[in-house]
Order: sequence, then structure tokens, then C-alpha cells
Amino acid sequence: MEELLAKVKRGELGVEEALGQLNRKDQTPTLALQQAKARLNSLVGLENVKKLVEELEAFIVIQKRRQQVALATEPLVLHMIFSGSPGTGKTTVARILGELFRQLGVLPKGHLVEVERADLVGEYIGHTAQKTREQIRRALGGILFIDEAYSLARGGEKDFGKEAIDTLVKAMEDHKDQLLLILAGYETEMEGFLSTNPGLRSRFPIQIKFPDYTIMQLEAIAEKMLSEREYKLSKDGRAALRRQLVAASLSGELACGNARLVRNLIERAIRKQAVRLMQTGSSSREELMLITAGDLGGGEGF
Amino acid sequence: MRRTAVIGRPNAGKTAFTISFATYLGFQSLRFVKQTVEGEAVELELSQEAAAASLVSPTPHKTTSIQALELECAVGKGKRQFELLDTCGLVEGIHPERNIRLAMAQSLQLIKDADLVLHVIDAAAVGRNQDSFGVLEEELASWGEARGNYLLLANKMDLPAARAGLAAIQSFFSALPVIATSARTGQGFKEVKKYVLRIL
Repeated sequence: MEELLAKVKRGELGVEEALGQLNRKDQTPTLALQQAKARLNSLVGLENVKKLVEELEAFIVIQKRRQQVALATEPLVLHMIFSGSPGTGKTTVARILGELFRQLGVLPKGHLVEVERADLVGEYIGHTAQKTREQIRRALGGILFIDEAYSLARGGEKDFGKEAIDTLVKAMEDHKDQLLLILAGYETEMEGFLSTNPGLRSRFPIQIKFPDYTIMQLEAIAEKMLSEREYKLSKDGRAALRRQLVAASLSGELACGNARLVRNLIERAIRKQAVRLMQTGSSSREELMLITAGDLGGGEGF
Repeated sequence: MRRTAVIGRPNAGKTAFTISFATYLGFQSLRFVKQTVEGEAVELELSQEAAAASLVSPTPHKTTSIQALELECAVGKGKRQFELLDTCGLVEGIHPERNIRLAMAQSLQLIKDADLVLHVIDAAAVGRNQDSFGVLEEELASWGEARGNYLLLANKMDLPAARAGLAAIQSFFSALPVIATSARTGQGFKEVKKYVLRIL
């Protein structure tokens, strides 16, 4: 700090440059980077995502080193497509990627702006470009995450969704170094969307599939959610959880909820446990933590 | 004593804000302690009118040292004391005058050390010229986000162009709190006081 101040005083450094150096120094990037990676690696499943992130990190670091020794570098185009059912971790991964890319120096801020069709498409001519640009501006320096992106292409020729797409494509060019775009949605719809807009696919070099979780993985997720909240499952509770997951999987509910469904299940069980404890009046430490089969079962749907 | 630094570009209204905020808190006469860049401390006691007349000026870089005011605020049954530090305006690049460079280094030190930073922005100027934010604002914003206790004051709200400026400030500094103020009319002082007391 003293050194920076002395440089400012001597007129070797502008105030904004001194602040910039302070900003960079204070972030202690390696630690924050490791934390972000640890967060990613603690997610259940998603092995392909973890592997891809490893690759990207290596690529970015090496490109930077090449740049330092004045070798030709590949431009970093990191726009992505996330396809998968709801609750498969798309938003969670996007948020972690934002942090990761900030630490790697790819994005200045790394925040996530989540939008959907209604945030981008306007009601009259000219309104759409304005609305879309507004969202792009909010996302500058970070990630613009468009959920159910294919809905922009619905509604035919006269729909304003097309205008939103055009504006987005232009922004991808204009703010190359400041904006990362992620299009997300169901796999089949995403495929259809990309095949009707061939120009788009080439602009999104990274495509990640988020498969539905298996029942085992969902159990692991449930255990993780519970231990984060300092609860645990009793033995019969674990069996009840599995029964519920199997039932949901058979009825097709699981595929449209995945981890979100598990979260709802867990949260309801926690409420039911509270009611049970109020009625029995017991509150030992062990009791306060334990979720039993009774807490999990007997609900009418999710 | 907890310290609150008032920072910003030249002519954002830092000194005017400092004086009228002190007046708002009920101080008739203001006892400034000037910490000059040479390291001396000069005391001067002025009435509000005299302070406004002698310390505030439309030419930029009127303030070239830290001007500290000891203030106190009634909180419940007790009183809370804090220091309000008016600083030299910040500009990008290397300033040709040594004095101003030294004073800006002082401001920088305070941005790092103060318990609370009030960043004053001329909202009217921003309203007239939407592109008036530069690298300085970007760096300050990320510094402010990282350090916390960083409040933006969209000042000069009594001027007509300021309304558009306020919106621009809010969207540029989206992660930081913004209060619309006017050193002339006292607009927003209640909120600023509340914020200051919550943090100090």
C-alpha cells in the first residue's frame, strides 16, 4: 500500500491504476479459485461438467502463458449451451462458472443474470431490442443465462423473439470480452432450436448435457442437503426416501424435478419433523437432528 | 473514533455535502481540522455560512487536503461520535500538480482505511452525459463491493438533469447501495444518517 501511495505521489501511477492494483491484489485469486472448484467438485454426479471445467481452466491458463511470451493465442469463445431437465444443476453450475471465470480473469465480474423470454421480448416494434439490450447491459462483465432459450424462436416469423436473438448475437460480437452467454433448456427442444438456427450452433462452441440424476445420486443429494442443514436420516428414513424416489421415478415426476424435487421432499420432511417433535415434546440433540420414515412418508404427492 | 470518508470526483459536491450534513445533524459552528499533505494539522472554526462560502467553489480541486469534522449524533438516550472526512477529488491519470497528487494519495489511503466510505457523484453531470463513468468508477465499484460499507450518494438531485443521472448511477453501481441526495435542499440526509448510524 505504501509503495502504491508513494508512486501516486511521485506521479508514476494514476489513482485509478493504484486502485486497480489494490483490487487485483486483494482478491487472493488462488484461494478463491480453489474454493469455487471445490464447490463444483462437491456437486453430486455431473462428471462431464467437472471434466470440461478442468479442460477449460487448463486452456485458459496456457493461453495466458502463451500470450505472455507473445505466441499466437486462440480467442476465448466460451458461450455455452446447457441442455437438461429442470433440477439437473444448470443454474448452479452456471453460477459457479461465473465465479471461476472471474478468478481466472476471463470475466471482470462473474455475476449471473438469469433471464427468460419475458425479460427479453417486448410488446411492440422496437421494444424487444431495447429490453434485450437492457438485460445485456446488466450482464456485462458476467454471465447472461437464458432459460428455456428455444421459446425465443417460437411463434413464427412475426414473433419478436427473433429480434431478441439478433440483438443477442450482435451483443456477443460487440462485447466479446465482457459477456458470456449461456442458453439453457430441455434437451430435445434445445436440439430443435439449434437445428432451425444453424448460425447459432457455431457461436456456442461449448455444449454440455445435464443428464437426469439416478436414484442413487438423488439419495446422495438428499443426504448432502440434510447434512448442510445439520439433519440426518434414520435407517427407516433412508428406506422411506428411496421408496418415495422410486415411486416418483415410476410416475415420471422425477424427470421433471430431479434435485428440485428432492429439495422439496427434504424441506417438507423438516417441517413434519418439527410438528412431530412439538407433539411428543422430546428435544434431545439427537432427536432434533433425526428425520424418520414418518417425516418422509405419508404425504400426498410432492 | 469511527471514520467516514467522503470521496468522489472533483466538483461532485463533497465539501458542500459535508457542511450541510453537519448542519443537518444540528451543528451551528463547524470545527474543521485540516490535515495538510505536508502532515500539519490546522484547525479552523467556521459558521455554516462561512464554511460554505470559503470552502465550496465551482472550480474543481478546491479541497486539497483532508478536512475532518468531528460530529456526534443522538442515538436513543446516548450519543454516537464519528469523524466525517472531506477529501480531495479523484481524477484519472497523473495530475501535473504535485500538491493534488499528494492529496489524492491521502484520499486513497482513506478509501482503504475508513470505516465507511461515502462516494459522492454529481448526478446532474451524469444525467447530462451518460458516458461520464470511467475506469475510476469501475475500480472504485469493485473496491467498494469487496470492502463493503460503501455507500453511493447521487448528489445535486435539486438539478433537473439529476433524475436521469440517478438511474444511470443505480444501474452502473448495481451491487452497491445508492441514496439520492442534495446538499442544497437536504434531500436524502435522513437516509444517509440512518445508514451511517447503522454502520458506525
